[in-house]
Amino acid sequence: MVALTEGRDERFLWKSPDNLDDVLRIPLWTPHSGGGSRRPGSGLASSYDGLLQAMLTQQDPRSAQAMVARSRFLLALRGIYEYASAGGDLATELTSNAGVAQLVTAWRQIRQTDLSLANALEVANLLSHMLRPLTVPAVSADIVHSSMNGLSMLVAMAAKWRHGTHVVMSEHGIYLRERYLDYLETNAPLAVKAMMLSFFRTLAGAGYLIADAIAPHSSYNRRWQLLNGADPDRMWTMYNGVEPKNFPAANTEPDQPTIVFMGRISPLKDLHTLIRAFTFVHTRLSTARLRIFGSIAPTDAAYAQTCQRLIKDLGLAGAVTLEGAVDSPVAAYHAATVVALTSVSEGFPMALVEAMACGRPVVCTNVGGVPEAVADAGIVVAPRDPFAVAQACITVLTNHELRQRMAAAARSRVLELFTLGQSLEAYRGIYDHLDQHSAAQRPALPQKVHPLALSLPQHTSRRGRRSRALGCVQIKVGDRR
Amino acid sequence: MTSGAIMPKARVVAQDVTSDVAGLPAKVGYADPFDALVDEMRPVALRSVDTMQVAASLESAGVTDRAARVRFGYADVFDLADEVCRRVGPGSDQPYPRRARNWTAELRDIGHGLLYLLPGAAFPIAFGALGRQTLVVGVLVAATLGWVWSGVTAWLAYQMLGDGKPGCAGRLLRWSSLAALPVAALTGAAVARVTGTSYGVVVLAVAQMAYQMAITTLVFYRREVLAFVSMTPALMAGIGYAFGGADVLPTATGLCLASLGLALAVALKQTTSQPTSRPTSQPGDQPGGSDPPLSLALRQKFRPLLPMLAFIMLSAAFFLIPQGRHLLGQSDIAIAFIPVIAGMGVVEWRARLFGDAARTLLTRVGHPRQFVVRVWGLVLSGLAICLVSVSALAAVLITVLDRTGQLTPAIGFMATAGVLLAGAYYLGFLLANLGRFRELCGSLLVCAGSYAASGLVTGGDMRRDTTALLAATTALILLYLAALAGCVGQAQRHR
Repeated sequence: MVALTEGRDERFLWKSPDNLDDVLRIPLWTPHSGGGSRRPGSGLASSYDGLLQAMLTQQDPRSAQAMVARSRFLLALRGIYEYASAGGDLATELTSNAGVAQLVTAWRQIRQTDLSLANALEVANLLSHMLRPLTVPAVSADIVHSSMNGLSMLVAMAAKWRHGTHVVMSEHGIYLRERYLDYLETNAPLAVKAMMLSFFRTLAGAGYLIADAIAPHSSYNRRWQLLNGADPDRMWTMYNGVEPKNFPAANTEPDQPTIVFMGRISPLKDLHTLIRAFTFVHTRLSTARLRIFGSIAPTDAAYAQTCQRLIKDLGLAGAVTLEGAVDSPVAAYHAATVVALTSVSEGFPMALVEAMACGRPVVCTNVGGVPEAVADAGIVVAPRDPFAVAQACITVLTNHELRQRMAAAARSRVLELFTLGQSLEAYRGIYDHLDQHSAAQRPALPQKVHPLALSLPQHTSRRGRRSRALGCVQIKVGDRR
Repeated sequence: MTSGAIMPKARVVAQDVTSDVAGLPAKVGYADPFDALVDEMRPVALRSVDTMQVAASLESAGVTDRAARVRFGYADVFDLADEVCRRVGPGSDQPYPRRARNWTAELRDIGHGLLYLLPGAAFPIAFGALGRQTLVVGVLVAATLGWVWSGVTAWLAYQMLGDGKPGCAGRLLRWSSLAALPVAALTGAAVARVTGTSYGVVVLAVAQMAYQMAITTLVFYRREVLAFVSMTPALMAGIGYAFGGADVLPTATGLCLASLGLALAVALKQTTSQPTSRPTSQPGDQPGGSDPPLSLALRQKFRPLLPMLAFIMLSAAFFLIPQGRHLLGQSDIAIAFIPVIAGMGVVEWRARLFGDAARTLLTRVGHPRQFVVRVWGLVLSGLAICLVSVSALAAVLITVLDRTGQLTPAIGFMATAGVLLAGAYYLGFLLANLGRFRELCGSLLVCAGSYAASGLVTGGDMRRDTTALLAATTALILLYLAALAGCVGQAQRHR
């Protein structure tokens, strides 16, 4: 497994599975250590210029010009990879006066507006960190399976260019959409945001271009991928699945009406809306409780504090609790009367499927693949609407018959559609498809297919910008058979 | 809302992957729901960089493709976002705010020179109590040890503060201050034994070290005023001794030591009363849990400390070698160093101001070429201010000495060398802030080594020796400027 991490000291949140051989970390935000031995040649300058031209030129993402720009961007990335793999010191060059001047010139030519040196330096630094996966030796594998678009795909691109490796890309949420939402919350200058989001947009498009198979986790999210250049003939919607026996149905309900949230404590989960909604619930049902389970990444510590402050300000201390990470999510789901998820962006949330497997009704927001997962196992409401969330929660909490019906529907929907076996079978199908494709092209096939899973960094901007690696497992086809 | 009303909606949502847009309440005062949407989205759209970002925001607010079609009449969210952006228009960046100058902080920086000069007030008392030989040996030993010890402590403390570990910084300052006293005592005792001077050196070394650590800590916490107030009794004692002579020696000595004790106590108090850790970062965290143990924080800084340590030691050597060479033979030449010591506040002020000004410059220029030209303007203007300020102090000193008939050519040369030394320290601070320790240490090694070696040639001749010091200091300035030429224009180094 390759993990894009913030530094070198991150600890594993979960026990490594037996079939995980090794984890290769690529720290993105450690200080640049130099290391490149070669001075830049014209190769880097022209590649970097191509990259800047492709990402800074504004056009309709559905246009033919946009498709050309993605191709040019991919070509430029390859040039940068070649430069770095030949020993070039990419970070030093991008942040040198010459590199920054190149960026300033491209911006002025294309956008026809001024750019301060401070902003140009900020972008040059961010790019030097984010392109770091291109500066490490390309991984050797039979298939590279990236769990996300964006920076993770740089690892896949390097493997493809170096070894001709097939690339599978799963996209849980939509990388680009989440970057767009992240950057709305930052106070970075508009020019920095414009450049970085142009980079992310073009990188995401290049990722779709180079992937041999794209597996969105919900049909709704396909729209963004298609808009950004994904080829529908190489797309298969793949729902996440859970192992039912690991998430047994709950037989009882808690004594007090209890709403449970399970997931990362993150702005994308919009816990403020859930906490605000709970004020209405608590007014109606004074014994009701809201229990929020989930880990807090260092980058989200400030957000967790705002949640705590909100709980205090709304006079909900005691009724609403931040419980931290739990060893067994099953215990958290079983402690719920209803499970709530109020995200503003989602792919196909595992927590939702796990809760449904445990036979819990859900109240959640209409984002990403959530409605596809829920159907009649819960209530879907508009995001950022505390009143709607509260109404739905009260309805489920106070209507025993409805709750029972939803609980049964939830469990049966998971067993029917969202089991781990089905999910693995679907991926196996994709691997086999690529395998056959390889057979047609290559004289000899490997004995085993070793797909390589890539984790993604969830970075935010600025100085405050930091990444967080999600765990992924390396799956050996040979072991599965 | 009844369950019957919600369930069908949920099914529709599941099937059509949209929300029930018909149920959305119309905004009061808007005939067209699109107008309401535009007004609602205006702040977001002005902060957005393109229509896709507005589309992402619309989706996160619950607007789906179906809502775009049914409620607003557009094909999908992306088309809707296009139109919202067209109606709102482009956003624009706010110019960087101009930072107001903090004159109080700047005056505090300038005042550091007086803090460094303050121990001089007690030297006549030490002279009276311990004798000339013990005073000179004690001052040299204590100044060298204190310079290095306090320099290393301050650097580590600032590093920890920069890493967001103020608790570690406080603990380091506290324990380092306390540990410094026995170390100074042992060193003083060893020197007394080796040189055969009185064990009064021990007292002098401990007192000087206590003062250095107190000042280091109080400057770290920006409590310079407390330092001045704490040391006022010592100053008064020095003045009293100058007028009262041997009769008041015991009282003056006691007052000096009490003043030192007070300064150190006040400084140590700062390390416990200032915030010792960042706010807890996670619910359920224990207070102070974000600051690691001091030993761990120190281990992490060990490697970067080595070049810094070398720089501090060589800087101390370059300053103290000439003092050592002359003070032992002609103690009145020490007066020539007063301008440079008093002017060190100006040097620190300009060095700090340069960093701020260079960062501000990044927001004012639009091309690295412009930056290179203007940053050199900053370097040279800072250098000129340091040289002129210390020159003015030296001119006052020379004038006073001349009028009182105490001016010697050696003092004049030494004071001039001090002026150049101030310029060299200013450039050295810039290089240190840019992390150019290799160049710093190399330059210092060459110049300090050359000057030390010149002693073999000058044969103790004061005039030739001070000329050698002048030459070495001039060479140091030139070497520092050459080192700066390779890095100060790189904009990246000033972020």
